[in-house]
Amino acid sequence: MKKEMIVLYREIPSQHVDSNFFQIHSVFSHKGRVSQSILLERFSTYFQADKNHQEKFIFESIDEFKKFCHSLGTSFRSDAVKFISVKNYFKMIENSENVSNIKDFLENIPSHRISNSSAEGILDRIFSL
Amino acid sequence: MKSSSLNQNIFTQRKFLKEKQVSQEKIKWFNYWEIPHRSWNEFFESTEAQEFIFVPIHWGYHFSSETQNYDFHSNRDFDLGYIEELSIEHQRDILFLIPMGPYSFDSVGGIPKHLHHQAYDLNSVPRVIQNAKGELCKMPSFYSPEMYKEYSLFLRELCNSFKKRKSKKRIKGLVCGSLVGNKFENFFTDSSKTFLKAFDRYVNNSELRDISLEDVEDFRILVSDLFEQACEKQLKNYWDGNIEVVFHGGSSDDLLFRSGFGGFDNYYFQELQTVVKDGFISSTNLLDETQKSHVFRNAFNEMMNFSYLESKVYDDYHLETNLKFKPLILCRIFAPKEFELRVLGLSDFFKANYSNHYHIHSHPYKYLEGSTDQSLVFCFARYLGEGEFLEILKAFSKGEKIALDLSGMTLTQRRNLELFLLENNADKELLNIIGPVSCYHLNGGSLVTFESEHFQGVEGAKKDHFWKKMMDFFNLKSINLKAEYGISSFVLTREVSPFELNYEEVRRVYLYNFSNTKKKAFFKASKDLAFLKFTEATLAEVSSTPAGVEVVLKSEGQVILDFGVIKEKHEKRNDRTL
Repeated sequence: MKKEMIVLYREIPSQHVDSNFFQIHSVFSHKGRVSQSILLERFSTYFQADKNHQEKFIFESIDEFKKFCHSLGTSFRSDAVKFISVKNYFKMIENSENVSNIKDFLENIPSHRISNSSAEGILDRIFSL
Repeated sequence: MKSSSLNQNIFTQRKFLKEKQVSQEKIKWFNYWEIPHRSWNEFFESTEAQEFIFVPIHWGYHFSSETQNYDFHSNRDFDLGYIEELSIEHQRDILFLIPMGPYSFDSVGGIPKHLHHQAYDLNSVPRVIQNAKGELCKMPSFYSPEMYKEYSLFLRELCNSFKKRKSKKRIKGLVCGSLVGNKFENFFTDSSKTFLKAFDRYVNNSELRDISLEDVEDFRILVSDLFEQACEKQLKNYWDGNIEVVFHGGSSDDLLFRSGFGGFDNYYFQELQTVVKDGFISSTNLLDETQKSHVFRNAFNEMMNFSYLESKVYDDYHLETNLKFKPLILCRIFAPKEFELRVLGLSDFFKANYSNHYHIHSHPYKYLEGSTDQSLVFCFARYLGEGEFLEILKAFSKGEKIALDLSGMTLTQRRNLELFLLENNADKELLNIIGPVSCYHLNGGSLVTFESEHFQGVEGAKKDHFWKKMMDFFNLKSINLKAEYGISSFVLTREVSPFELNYEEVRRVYLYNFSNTKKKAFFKASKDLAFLKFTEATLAEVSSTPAGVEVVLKSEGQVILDFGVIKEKHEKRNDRTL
């Protein structure tokens, strides 16, 4: 089985013109969903509680998000990560009539290898605007 | 002449039964619209007595686009009466279900196709799920005005068909949903444009100003209640209330894993733990056999056993009246504003120490007369009305354990509380942990009062210490289990038999290793618990030492262990206790 990770994320417009916030919606390793409780347990230093004390898995910069995804992939021994925005997921669903359409879409999403030396470079390319 | 339905899909071949899933599940879903009536008999022959046969009535299937009406009898393929006859012939009990929201059984959610508008979940993700046949089920929104009108008509026609053939069966509403963040989310829940338009109409008609999230939630409840009222009105004496079913693999984004990876999602174990804790029924109907691991199937069948399902399906069945195991709930928390639990550090404390053994209720408090529930009750006095406050005092005097936050309490309630404690000579202890804490005993009951306003600015470790002290005072006996990641555990409880009078209750722990490697679990010795036995050990080794009980599970291994909770005044027998 491919040891990939899928990260479904949402971009949230921020007050800063040149950057958005990134929010993790869900994460799947090749073994299944990575629950929010596991994310909080293993990566508590990344997440700040908001004023209502609810972790919302929001990263205020691309750098933080990149760093986190790298750690996440390494932690679950994934070889690669696929990133899907909720916007693109919506388009994927709209244009799919059956499961094989979904599979084709997923196959065509670039798979970015997680490795110590080249991860930063790869993640830079993923998020280049 | 046979009417046609937009959703008709009658198979002329017998392929569907050859591909019948080999399943030990106690719920058999009879999707009659997929099977020609000639083969319905074969379906019933494949069922067993100790199984539930759920017959979801397919709204869209019975709708005829030609006549614009509902067909329940033009030929046997539509004939629900024939299903009833077969059930009697085979001595099987069937449960007719109607949709209280989208079904996950076909590509348009079980409704007439022309009514379909795509629904979105609360995170604005299209609600699309994959069923066991590999079909994409695009869940519809139930918020269009045409939907309600058509639904009422469907129910009326259905009731007429039941009356006409003098059916003796009642009909329940099927509420399909999934677990999102450990909470049940009904497929009816929607945030699509159809929903927004409906909300807009509601706001204009109600002339609401300063709209809040509460108004949105009120609107959701209003619409959901409307559909339920339609069932009561149209189905009359046939209506028998709702059942909620969690469908594993039914979240909007589960599609990513199931299409991208396939195979078994280990997270279903965590879902099953939540299902058991919160008393839901769950189904693996959406998963094909390759998506269920062997060990998950065993865990699922143990938890969703016939007795448990019987207690959920039939309102008048009480699981507590016999020696059957039921979920272990150590604390019932009544918190209208859940975030306040986080401020107190209570949610973190319970997640860390009593995970899967507590319930959070959003109402201020409810006393259950005649309940044998001995769990700790936690509530906030500021949300209690006069009646609810009196019920708390009543519960305390009848032997219950109560933790009560007095912050924000009215003066009248404070005086009434003091008067009550004085009049009843309740024994009092005073502590000072975080602010003043008072502990009272009366008739076997325990009451602890504290003031949450003193928690402002207190660090997490101190809050944790506070709750540990509280739980020690209430003597909540939990099983001290440390298990490696990869082991899933379920803890159930039952009353003692006449031969077990040394114990208050018997707890059963189920352990399953869903990982690919050997894993360990350890039960630390405790003065409150006695290790009784282990059974059903598969690929497992169990060894008892003075320090505790060690369990080693190979991949896909499982074991069941029983512990007795020792009665407080009973002297422990050293050779049997942990």
